[in-house]
Amino acid sequence: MKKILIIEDDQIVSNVYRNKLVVEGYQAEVALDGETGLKMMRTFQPDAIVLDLVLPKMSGVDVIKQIRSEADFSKLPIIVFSNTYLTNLIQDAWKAGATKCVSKINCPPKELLELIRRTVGGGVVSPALPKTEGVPATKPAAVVSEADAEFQAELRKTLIASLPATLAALRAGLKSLIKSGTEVAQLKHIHELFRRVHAVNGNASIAGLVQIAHLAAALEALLKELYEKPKNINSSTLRTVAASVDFLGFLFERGTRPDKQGIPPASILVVDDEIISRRAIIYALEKAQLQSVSVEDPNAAFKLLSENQFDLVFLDVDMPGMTGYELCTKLRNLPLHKKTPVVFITVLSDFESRTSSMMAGGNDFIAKPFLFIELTVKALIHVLRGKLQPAK
Amino acid sequence: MKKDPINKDEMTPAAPTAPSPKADAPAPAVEVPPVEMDRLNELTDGNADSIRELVDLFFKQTSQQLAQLEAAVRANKADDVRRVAHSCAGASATLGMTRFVPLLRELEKQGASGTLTTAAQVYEDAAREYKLIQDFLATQLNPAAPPPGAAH
Repeated sequence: MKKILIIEDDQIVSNVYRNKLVVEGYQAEVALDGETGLKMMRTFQPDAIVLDLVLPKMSGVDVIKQIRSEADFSKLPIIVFSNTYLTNLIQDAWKAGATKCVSKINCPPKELLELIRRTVGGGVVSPALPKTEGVPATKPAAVVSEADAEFQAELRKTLIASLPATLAALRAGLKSLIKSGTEVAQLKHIHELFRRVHAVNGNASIAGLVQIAHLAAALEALLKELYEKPKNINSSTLRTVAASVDFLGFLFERGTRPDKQGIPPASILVVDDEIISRRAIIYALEKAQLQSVSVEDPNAAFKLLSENQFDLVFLDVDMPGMTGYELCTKLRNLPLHKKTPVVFITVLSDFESRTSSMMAGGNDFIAKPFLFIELTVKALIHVLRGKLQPAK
Repeated sequence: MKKDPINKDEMTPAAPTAPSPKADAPAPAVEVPPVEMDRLNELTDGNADSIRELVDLFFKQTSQQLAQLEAAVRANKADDVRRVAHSCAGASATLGMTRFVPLLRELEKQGASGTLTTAAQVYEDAAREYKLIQDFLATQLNPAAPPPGAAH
């Protein structure tokens, strides 16, 4: 029987994976942190390791480095679970020697099982099917599919029942963060919020609640960046964190229907006269697989807006010929864009931005230079809200 | 819709680790580098060719803007100073030129006020910082090459 070691700090997630693997004919063990995982590896002698990159005590990347430094395990398959939005961390995992990297969001238990089968073989051999020479027998596809659907539905039901308590804990954590008087206190509360959001991401991913998982994953990446670079903690980023927690509450109510999962296609317009800034905005949107059209000339943008529906508009404020505020006022007169979310990108002070943005009909603003992940989070919130709560 | 989240590029980006509680003691003061390489690396997914292309674009654009700024300061054209400094600051901030940006913001501020009191000096400081950025990036992107100005 093939042996799999799961190194994952979330007990719900790790137990779900372990149970799934055991049911499917593997011997599976769980370690809740990296150091324990390394010790268990040496005694359990697994055929593969499933590793979360974000772990307490020792990071997932350091765990990979340690595994690769030990001769007995230098070739051991390591399947890494990652957060799609933690791009640099994924690169580090590859460089450290990961065998495969998969996004938690895209890898519910049945997908993980398939990946393990492809990587190390093993698993259940169905007695219902005669074994053919050279061809591994499997359970009938319909039986597997039905069992997986039931399994995930049960997971989803359990998770949905826990969402009110989760939301209350997130709001309490946010409140503590906002009230923090010192940087040390801020970092402590950001770290706590990070751990909670990380758990939401993991649990929503295994339950197939993709929209919740996506927003939680993006927020997790934003919190990680704020923790590691506290100079980026400001009114703009804190407002984005608060809006994300608020919107998670919205998704907990309206984003749990199994037929309404996935990030819906969206049409986004970016207007900025400066090419490097445009490129940064497009990059940030692509993190969430959001496609956009970008233009440098506000008059050209107005023409596009006159002829096309957009789900979200990002506007630079200071542009030659027409300011972002002027363009926003004009677009609000277009029947197509009376309710289209508009986010200003500005270097102006918080108070000036809020006042000018609201007077011009804008919905939101983000301070320059923005964190790429902050803009990603904002875009996800506006796009998902627009799809789940169409403008009246 | 979904694209492969996996990136196997071989550049050396910053290595964020899982957050862990930090000690309360303040970190020792360190000199701020002219460029936050984390941002450049992230914006290009750590791809060496993409970084070079972006840096070339920045140099081309900024060299022109500094020439425009110098001319505008000499001609005492405050609005031109404001406009060019604003654009240059936006791109520089996006790429993490942390020491360069405040100088450009100061020029933008003086331009907006219509009074270019110390603009000539601030411009000189900005031009000097830009040279440091060029040297820094040349070293970062060509680590094997001697730093510019080293071989005299």
